[in-house]
Amino acid sequence: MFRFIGGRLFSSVIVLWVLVTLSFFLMRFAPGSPFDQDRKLPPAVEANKWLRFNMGMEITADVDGTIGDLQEIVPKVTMLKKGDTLGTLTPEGGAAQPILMPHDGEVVSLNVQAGEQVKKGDTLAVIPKPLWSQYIDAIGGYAKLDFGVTITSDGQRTVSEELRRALPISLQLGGYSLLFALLLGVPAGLISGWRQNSPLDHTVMAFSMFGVSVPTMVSGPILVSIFAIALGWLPPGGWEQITPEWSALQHRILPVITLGLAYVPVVARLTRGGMLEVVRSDWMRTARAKGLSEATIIRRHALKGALLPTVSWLGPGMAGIVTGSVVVESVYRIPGLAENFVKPALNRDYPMVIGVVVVYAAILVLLNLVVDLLYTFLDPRVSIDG
Amino acid sequence: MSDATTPEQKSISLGRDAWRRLKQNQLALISLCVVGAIAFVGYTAPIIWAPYVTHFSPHEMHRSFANAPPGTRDISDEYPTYDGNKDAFDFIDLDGDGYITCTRHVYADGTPGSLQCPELAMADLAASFLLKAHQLFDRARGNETPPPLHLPAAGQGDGYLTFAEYPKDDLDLPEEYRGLGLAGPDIFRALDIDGDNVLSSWELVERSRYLRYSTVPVGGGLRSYDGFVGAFDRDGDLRISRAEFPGAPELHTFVGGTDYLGRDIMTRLFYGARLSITIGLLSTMVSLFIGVLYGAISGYAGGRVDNVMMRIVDILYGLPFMFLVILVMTIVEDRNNPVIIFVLLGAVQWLTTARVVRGQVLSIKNREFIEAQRALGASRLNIILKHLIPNTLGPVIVYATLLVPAVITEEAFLSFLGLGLPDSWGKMLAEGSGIGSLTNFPWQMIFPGIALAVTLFAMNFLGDGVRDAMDPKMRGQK
Repeated sequence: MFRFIGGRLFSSVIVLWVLVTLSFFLMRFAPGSPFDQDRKLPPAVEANKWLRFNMGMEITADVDGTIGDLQEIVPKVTMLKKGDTLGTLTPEGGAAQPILMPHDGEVVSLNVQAGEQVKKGDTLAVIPKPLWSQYIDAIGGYAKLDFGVTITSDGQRTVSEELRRALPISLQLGGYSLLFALLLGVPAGLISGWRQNSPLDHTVMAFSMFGVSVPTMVSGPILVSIFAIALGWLPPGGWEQITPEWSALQHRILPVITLGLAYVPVVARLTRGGMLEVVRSDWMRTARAKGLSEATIIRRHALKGALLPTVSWLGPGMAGIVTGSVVVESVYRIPGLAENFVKPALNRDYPMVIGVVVVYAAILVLLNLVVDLLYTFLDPRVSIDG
Repeated sequence: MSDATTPEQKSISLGRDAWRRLKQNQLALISLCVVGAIAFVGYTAPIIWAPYVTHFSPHEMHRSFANAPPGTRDISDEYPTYDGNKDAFDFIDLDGDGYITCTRHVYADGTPGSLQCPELAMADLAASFLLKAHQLFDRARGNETPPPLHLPAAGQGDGYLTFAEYPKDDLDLPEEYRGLGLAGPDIFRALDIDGDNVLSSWELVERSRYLRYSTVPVGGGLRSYDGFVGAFDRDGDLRISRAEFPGAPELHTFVGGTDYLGRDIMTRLFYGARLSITIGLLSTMVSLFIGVLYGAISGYAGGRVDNVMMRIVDILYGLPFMFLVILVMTIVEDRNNPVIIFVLLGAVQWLTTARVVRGQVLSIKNREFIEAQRALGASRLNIILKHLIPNTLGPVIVYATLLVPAVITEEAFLSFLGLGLPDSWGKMLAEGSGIGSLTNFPWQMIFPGIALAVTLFAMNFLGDGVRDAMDPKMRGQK
């Protein structure tokens, strides 16, 4: 048991590491930097940003002295090789020393002019950090759950703050929707499987086909049109955290139904499939032969087995709900995690994007582990120690 | 089953048998027809539907007709038709010389400049007045004496120009429209087609068509008279005689209304169908390629390799893959490249295929015909490609038919978030599902919504039908 959980946790860490690495390099290899905005920033301001977001490093003076010749360098355009000289630095009464590039790359800003007096430790130039060094810094931070500061807020807010604000909203939306899907889907599937080929079964299956074929980006606007615009019963969007409770609840109804409805048919079909298998099993025949009532048979003998497919779906299903919530959050203008993923990704806000990816992946990996444990509890034939 | 004792009974291949069963499933057959029709309409959109049926191209913008409801009519920019009625010629030929005269300025180095047609330009100016008249003069009822040339905000008017609202003489008109004889009671009566003493916008559009001859060439570009003169000036003298004159442009209906840029929604739907079907099929192929290969290798290798490969699949199952897709979409430079989309979508959809194929391979890899190949010394690759994979195709086809609608949904999902292709149904849905559009222009959401839902419906029913046909044991167990 503990070995199983330990092993799973270990593989989860590996998965998270692979994901972070993948996202990190995907974003860094993209052309352009997050600071490429419509208006060009002065090199000194931009250099500050590079330093603040831990993407740049300084070249400092080793000794007090005077700057000699400087190379003609256009910031962010001239590509230099490792060991190229940026200029020379002449200490008091000594020979001129070259200022060297520590690695390949461009220069973000050159902070000194020829003939200027500098002290030891003064910044001569700012250059981008090597990728691997940025990566190691980042991974070190993530291990301490420090995701850095968001670039779009200009360093005003940390990623963790944003996540703390948005994550509960998305979790609520996803959780309620899953609950809605299970509350509606499981009974429907049970009845439908118990009475296979009855009119009730056909109705459930027809509705489930409807649910599968109408994606949230269609059902969401339709529900808004009907219940918010035409009837005016519910608000068309937002996710207010205000009292009275009823008002907050009103804002949750439509999004939860929209997202949940997409998964009701999936749950119903899986439960029905599980039920069909159980109904034909030997132990059910035995239970009937004992003369138990239908209700008891379902409750005591059929339910557990019929739920197995649904439970094993929960893992991947939650990944689906997470993805689906992106659309629902956008339709209903809910300030959840999705809002904090698509827009930052378009703006190259690396820390925010990676923060969201890590949090989502971590939640899903953890939930998958819970689902696996639940599975062994429901089906005694499955043993995790084996 | 063919048998030596019953020679008249022919053997039936698996595919033929499945097709026979599919034909008995009416719902699946109807779905097949619907999918076929959607694909046909999509792929013939540029050669049949846009030029000859809707008469609009998906990109032409009718600025005066933005957010117009279904049934609004306008002349087409890229695929205009003409009514053959020569009466309009007299409106245009202002100097009465029997020709609509154009000139083309030629630069010193011989490059031709744009075509200048003063008479057509004058007509266009008058037409632009008619199309703008509501915006300029329409007031809500009870406010019949506004200060001259005061522009009402959108939605302030009641939708009708009454006799009192219509300008009485040239001084009531904006400066650029003076001197064309557009004001006055006579003109009002000439414009009032149904004689109800108010001008609805359809009357103004109907009257304006006699005056509008500038077109935008197919494939975009600037509005010019080149299309009109080029098509009808048969003798090449840059003059359109009465005999050459094709009549006034005909109006065509925006059957599905227009979007916020004044583009015809129906035409865009047809082009969207082509995109959706293409992405669906190609992505499915990409995912099958990866999944079949992965599953076959894993199943055939068995043991530790199989274990590791399947553990990877298990882990990947729980991850929100669309997030990686979104990430990649935000960093690619050419976001409108369909190849990137279908490869990406295919690359994240192979997990189930891999599992299915692995299961099949495990069940047949120790059968006699594979043993025979091994005994004959066939290479592993040869066995996998020639013998194992073909024998797994049944379940793979079943899964693939259900994968196509899933991929189409995902493509729409990406476009809905603004990361997909501009012609996609998802993009149209996103544009139509803001609160403002839903309240005032619901057709912008309804039509793409119906198109997407019907396509997914048909494909899912077809997928179910194919599964029942390929595997009769599964019938009824969904």
